Amino acid sequence: MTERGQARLLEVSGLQTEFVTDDGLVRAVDGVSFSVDRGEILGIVGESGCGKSVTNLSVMGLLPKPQGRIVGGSVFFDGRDLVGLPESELRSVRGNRIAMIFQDPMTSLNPYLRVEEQLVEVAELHMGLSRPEAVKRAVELLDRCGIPDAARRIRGYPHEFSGGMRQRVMIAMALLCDPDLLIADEPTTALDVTIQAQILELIKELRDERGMGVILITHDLGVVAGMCDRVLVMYAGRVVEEAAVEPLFATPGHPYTAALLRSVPTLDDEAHGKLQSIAGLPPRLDGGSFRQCTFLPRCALAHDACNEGDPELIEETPGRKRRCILPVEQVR
Amino acid sequence: MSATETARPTKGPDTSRVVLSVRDLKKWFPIRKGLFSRVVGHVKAVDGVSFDIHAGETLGLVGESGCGKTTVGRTILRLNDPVTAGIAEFHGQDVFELQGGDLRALRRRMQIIFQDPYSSLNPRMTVESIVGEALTVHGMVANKKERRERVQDLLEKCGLDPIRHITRYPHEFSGGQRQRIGIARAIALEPELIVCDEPVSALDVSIQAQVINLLQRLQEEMGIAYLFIAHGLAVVEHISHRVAVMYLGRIAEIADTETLYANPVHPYTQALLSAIPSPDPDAPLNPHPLEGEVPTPINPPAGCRFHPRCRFAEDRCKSNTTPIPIYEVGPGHRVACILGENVDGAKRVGELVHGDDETSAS
Ligand SMILES: Nc1ncnc2c1ncn2[C@@H]1O[C@H](COP(=O)(O)OP(=O)(O)OP(=O)(O)O)[C@@H](O)[C@H]1O
Ligand SMILES: Nc1ncnc2c1ncn2[C@@H]1O[C@H](COP(=O)(O)OP(=O)(O)OP(=O)(O)O)[C@@H](O)[C@H]1O
Ligand code: SF4
Ligand SMILES: [Mg+2]
Ligand SMILES: [Mg+2]
Repeated sequence: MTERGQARLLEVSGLQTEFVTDDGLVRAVDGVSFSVDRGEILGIVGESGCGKSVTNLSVMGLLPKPQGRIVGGSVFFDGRDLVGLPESELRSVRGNRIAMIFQDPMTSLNPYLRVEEQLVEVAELHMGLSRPEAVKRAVELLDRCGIPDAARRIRGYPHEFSGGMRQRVMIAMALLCDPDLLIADEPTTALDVTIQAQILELIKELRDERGMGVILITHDLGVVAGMCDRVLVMYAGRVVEEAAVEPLFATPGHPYTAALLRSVPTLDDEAHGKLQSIAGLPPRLDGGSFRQCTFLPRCALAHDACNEGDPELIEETPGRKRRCILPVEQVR
Repeated sequence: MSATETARPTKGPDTSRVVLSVRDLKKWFPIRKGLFSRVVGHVKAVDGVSFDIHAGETLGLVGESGCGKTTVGRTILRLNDPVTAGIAEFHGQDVFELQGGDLRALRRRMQIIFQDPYSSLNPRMTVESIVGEALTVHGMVANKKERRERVQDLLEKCGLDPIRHITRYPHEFSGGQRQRIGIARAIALEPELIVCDEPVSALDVSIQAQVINLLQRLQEEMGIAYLFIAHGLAVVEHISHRVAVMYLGRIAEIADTETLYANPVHPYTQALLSAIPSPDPDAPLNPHPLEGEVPTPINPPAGCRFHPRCRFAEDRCKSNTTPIPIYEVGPGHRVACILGENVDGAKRVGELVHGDDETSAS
């Protein structure tokens, strides 16, 4: 168990992140707030490009420079605002207390170094282990992540691993330093269901044993259902719904959430029929303000009042927020 | 693409035309050691795989991480040369014998959507060049203007913004957006076969649906055949006409989709089917997990490679003295397991060859 301080493990408020590109500004994250407690698993879901990865890269202070920057809001980790901290201090927080499993496996793997070197370096640097201890720990974690014959395979290079094995190496690397907060960005996309279940169990175990907080970004609603305590639904750089997992699945409070739940392929779908998708594209994120609900052009339930301004994110019942003017019973 | 649009009838595969025929394909990666890089063993990533794909057909290829799915796809496309053994005939011509111009022509007719959308896109090229390069190389557009229009059309088809996204570089995109750039590139040349290596696993469900609908529409319009690699059985069921289940470098079972999901014979197929997470917070994550470890393809188990994890394993499954039989248990439904003999009307059509053919590998 970690010590339980007064402050929340992570408290993000009003986060805004922008990119400067050749054809103007992209406001990828537009006023996002959420928190994560010790021992809690928060899921983040939402359409591709809605800002899930950029939100978390902002939390980690890992935005690409100079194009990307945080232009507003705060990121309190264990009582200290990480926004504006000097790089050296951020690096120590990242190495020792917050770990991230990146969506892009090659961000954290060096193609020219054997997997062993990369893992052992992390264990030596951040945990002060001796070389043999570090190797032992690395092999043990690879093994727990389901890499067969880990003691031998650890000596290979990343390109000698399959897609899913590379992903598991990254997961092992993130878990090596026993983080207080784990940010996992689509950690199991390349994994089949059996290994996925094994990895998710491992994350749960570490949560239970050590009170690790977890942010789990995934598009797999089955994983959300099985893993998360609370869920944040993002759309176009903003939060459109936040709720505990059961009520979210039972009675989605935003038409976007409802549409997401409908587009899950299930085993008893009619084969070769069309899958349900949400027609249309999300709005452009150029930093302008919205005069109508951002989801309106794609919303099957929209009516006249939805034109009269972008709804606020309102906490209707404790722990449940949503950004839609329809009464919750009418959301389908 | 609208959610309310009704499903168009699929023309379905043309079973009289085999596009790709793979026989006894093997790809072993040498393991080297020491100063002189002596070969001390092999990763037997693909170890005797056979299947056919017909025109306009989707063959799903599923199996656990590391079982050799990507290696099958890359080897067929000549991205893993040299092949260890076997043949892969594309319209009757063995792809492993093609060279120079013929090989380039093959590359136009056979495309791949890569599993990793990150490292497969050149970071120094704009989306316009990435998607349009091959159009120019293969003379499929007359000028720049035509190329731009064509690329914009492709981007739109894949759910990207044709105006704003075309001048951007890969790092300026989210993971799912990059995957769609890879798809636009693969379909640009209107190939006859696309190896789709987990094309939707990095995408959220709504975009997944869009991309799968897109692939299905292209198949109906152009008769493209797909080798569709995935670990999500639900998605494979939806898009595939037939499904092959792979275990440690070999095919365990192959059948048309309905049959495979309704009447799986191989214990491994049964285990995979029971392991699908459901979007229901009350359902346990994995009701019937596979027992035991995934063995390594370096020293695969003797006999049936699945036997250490199999609930039904008998003595004859555990050694190389009795070969594992392949049964045809229904039309086009083959299974490499002794349990095939219990199925009414099963015909023994072959067997998995054992033995340490280490020496015959190049
Ligand atoms: N370096 C960058 N320059 C410009 N725009 C960027 C950059 N990185 C991300 N974006 C844009 O910011 C938006 C949010 O991207 P982000 O990667 O957070 O999406 P995501 O929700 O993680 O999507 P996915 O599920 O596809 O990974 C996208 O529209 C993307 O195009
Ligand atoms: N270039 C290589 N050198 C050595 N071994 C390799 C190489 N490429 C793949 N392998 C090994 O071959 C086996 C099969 O890998 P492959 O990438 O085909 O698996 P896969 O079924 O696609 O798995 P995943 O679902 O994780 O992507 C793995 O054990 C992998 O480590
Ligand atoms: S051959 Fe034997 S060990 Fe292999 S799957 Fe069938 S019953 Fe199990
Ligand atoms: Mg992302
Ligand atoms: Mg693969």
